[in-house]
Amino acid sequence: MSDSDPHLHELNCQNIWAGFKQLVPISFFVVIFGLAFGLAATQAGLDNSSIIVMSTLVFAGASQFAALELWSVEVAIIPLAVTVFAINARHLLMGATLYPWLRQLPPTKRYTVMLVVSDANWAMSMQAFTRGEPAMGLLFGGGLALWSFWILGTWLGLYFGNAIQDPVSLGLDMVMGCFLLAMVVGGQKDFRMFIIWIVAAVSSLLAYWYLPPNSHVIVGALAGGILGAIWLEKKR
Amino acid sequence: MDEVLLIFGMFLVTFSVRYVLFAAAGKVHFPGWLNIGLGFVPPAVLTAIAVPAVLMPRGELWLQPDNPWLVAGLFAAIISVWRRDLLTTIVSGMAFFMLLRFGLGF
Repeated sequence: MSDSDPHLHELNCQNIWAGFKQLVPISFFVVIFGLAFGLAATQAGLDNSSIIVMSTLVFAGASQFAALELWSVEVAIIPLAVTVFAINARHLLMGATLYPWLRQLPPTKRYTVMLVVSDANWAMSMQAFTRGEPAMGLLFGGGLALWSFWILGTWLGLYFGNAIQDPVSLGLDMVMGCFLLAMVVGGQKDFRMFIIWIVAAVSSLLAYWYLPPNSHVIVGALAGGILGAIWLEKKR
Repeated sequence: MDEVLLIFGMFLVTFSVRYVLFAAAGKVHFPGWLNIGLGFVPPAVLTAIAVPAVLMPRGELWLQPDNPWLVAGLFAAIISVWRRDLLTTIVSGMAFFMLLRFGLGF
């Protein structure tokens, strides 16, 4: 793979639209969670405009739900910041994986693309990038789809939130589970990768039990990444 | 405390986490071992989110065949290997999950 091939970084209306369409099916489920968030936020006492602003700017589902639990008359700022940071710490590593591909973009484009990076469009475009396919449109267009459907869902939740039950108790969070598992087994498969899956899985479970809350994703990601780096170093 | 100010603070946290690496972006090249390690980050992140979600859907380890998250997760993984299509995997995985949960009352 070469990160200097200019056509891999191309960002135009066509590939953005193609990326958008590719993420629309998953975005339908994002609407449902946005709806749940809109409802939960209303119940937590936030006013409508704040809720929409939060979904638009923060665009991080798990962090937003966690923030609601800390929301009260006197919001404790440090716990809020720490929670939001911990849940999103994986974005540090995600940013690092995107770095070689986004490095060549002018700053404004880079900022704009990074605004809409989320698990689904990141995972799909990284898979394409690693195969040597152009995926900038998938990253940005797909991100726009997730982002706009998240805002749409949040807005609907303000008015129609009562129409659905808690999507987590219904088990709709399994949509993300199926997506993640499909991306995991759809990627590279060999003995080394198999061991990395196991290490990432076990270390995330251990972190879940023994480390501070919300640290399990970043711990699993670091463990897998470090093992991958060391393993190849030895073989060289 | 002003809600909008708090929300803007949350935005600063989430965005700077996303962007911190690029802020200093000259034409820095990562050393080879780092690039290689980063190549394993995507599958590791996905595994680290998915495995606890499927094994501990209610916060406690549930390694039993009556855990619909686990059974449907395995089913989705098999479909994914067999059909190699994201949408097929999600739709059939969810259909199977809903069947287990609400059809068979798991």
